[in-house]
Amino acid sequence: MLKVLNLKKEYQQDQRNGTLAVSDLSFEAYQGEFISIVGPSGCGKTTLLMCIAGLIKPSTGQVLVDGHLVNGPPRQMVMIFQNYVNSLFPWRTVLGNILFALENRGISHKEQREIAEGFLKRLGLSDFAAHYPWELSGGMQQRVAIARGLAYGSEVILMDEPFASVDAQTRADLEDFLLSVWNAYVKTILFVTHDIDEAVYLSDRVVVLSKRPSQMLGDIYVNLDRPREQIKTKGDKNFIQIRNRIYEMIRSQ
Amino acid sequence: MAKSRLSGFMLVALVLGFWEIGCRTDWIDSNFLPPVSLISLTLMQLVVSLEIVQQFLITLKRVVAGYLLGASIGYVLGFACGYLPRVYHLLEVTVEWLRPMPSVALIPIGILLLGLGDPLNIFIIAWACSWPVFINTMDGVRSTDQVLLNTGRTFGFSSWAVVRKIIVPSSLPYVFSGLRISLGIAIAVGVIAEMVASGTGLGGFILNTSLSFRVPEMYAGIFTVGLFGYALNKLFLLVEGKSLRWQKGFLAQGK
Repeated sequence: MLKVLNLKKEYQQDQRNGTLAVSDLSFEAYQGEFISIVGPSGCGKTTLLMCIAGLIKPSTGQVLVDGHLVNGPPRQMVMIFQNYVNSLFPWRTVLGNILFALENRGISHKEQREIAEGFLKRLGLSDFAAHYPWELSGGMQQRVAIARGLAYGSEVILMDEPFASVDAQTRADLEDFLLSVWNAYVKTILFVTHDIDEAVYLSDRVVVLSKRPSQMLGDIYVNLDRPREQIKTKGDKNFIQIRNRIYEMIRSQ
Repeated sequence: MAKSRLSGFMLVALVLGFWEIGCRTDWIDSNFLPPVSLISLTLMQLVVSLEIVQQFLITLKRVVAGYLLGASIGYVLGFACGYLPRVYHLLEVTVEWLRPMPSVALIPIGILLLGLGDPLNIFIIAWACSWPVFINTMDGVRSTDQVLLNTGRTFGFSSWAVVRKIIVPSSLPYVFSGLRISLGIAIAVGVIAEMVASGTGLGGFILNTSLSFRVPEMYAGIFTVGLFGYALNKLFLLVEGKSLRWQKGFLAQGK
């Protein structure tokens, strides 16, 4: 579904100086997989995601989605950003925000509304359709952001530390919310996080990146049962083992 | 909110009270500063005789036309400069040289080019109005959040759609700021231009009445300008409130 080949990104400051953010990364994601990307702060995770999303051009290397080269934001991918406050449009209601994802598809207004309302209903957000984003709590806003990304209808969803700005309790709720969404809609998800527990809890695989410039330290299969459950899964021996392994990887740099 | 408004009105009443008493007790020379009661009476007479109403309508026409013209030019230019930094780099020197010129000082040039009459007034007002709108619009466009822009792009929107659907609404609060400042300028510059060049409109009325020593009438004219500004501002706030309903809560979020 998604192939990242020898991706490298260097930010040029001037003729001689550049900051190498990502250096020679390759991995593959299969359809319907949930993959987390973890690594130390500032290691270039966001840069990597932006390159994959087609929002930034890599210095070298390629990204292929469904066999097609990514050369700008592709139809098959959508990115959900870290700061929901800045990504939801404050001048539109919740419904208006969802509609945004549908406005470019050449379908009638009526149909757009129906689809948008459908998503809101299935994600439990119907009550807030006429509200403005700032009237909602952080957790609800992030759900709206996820609903909006989902409504776009792409195969691949990229998420850049989407739960970083909420408290631990809301985080747990959002994690389970995301898993139920993923179950229902079967998307390929690339999920960047600095929280290793979260990564292991949610994913099929965890890609571990090194310090900047990021290279692949490991690509670890998470062989835990689904459905995952906050208490049961996190107490599982395997969970602890995998998670410790990842911690060690990152710490040993 | 209501309490401070009430105090505001009471303050005005207090000042007017002192003024009236000062005149009655001859502490203030009524030849130079007539009592409030006389000014109010004179104003009512001028309204009834339609003398001041005619002049008001002339000023209104010029101010509205000049404001709309200046604001439109300022908006378009400001948007272009904010969206395309190259355009601004091209225009920067010219803009920063022209901007500080007092609009009223341009009247002689205006007279040469346009003669006396409405086009002159409209031009001067438009000139003065365009700058605040220009600067605020440019600022607004520049400060569009990068995450919002990236969100637009990731949803596959074209550059034009991003401008229309994201940059325009996002910059609106800034634009309104500029529009509001320009509104005040439009009235002030309009009246001054009339005093200097026209002899008609409220500015002309104030000048003529002062020259013919119709002192209470002159103050009535000045009051009318103030009332005009107050009314326009209130109207503006009404429109702004409706258009920017979303902004109040967004800012109050305190992030």
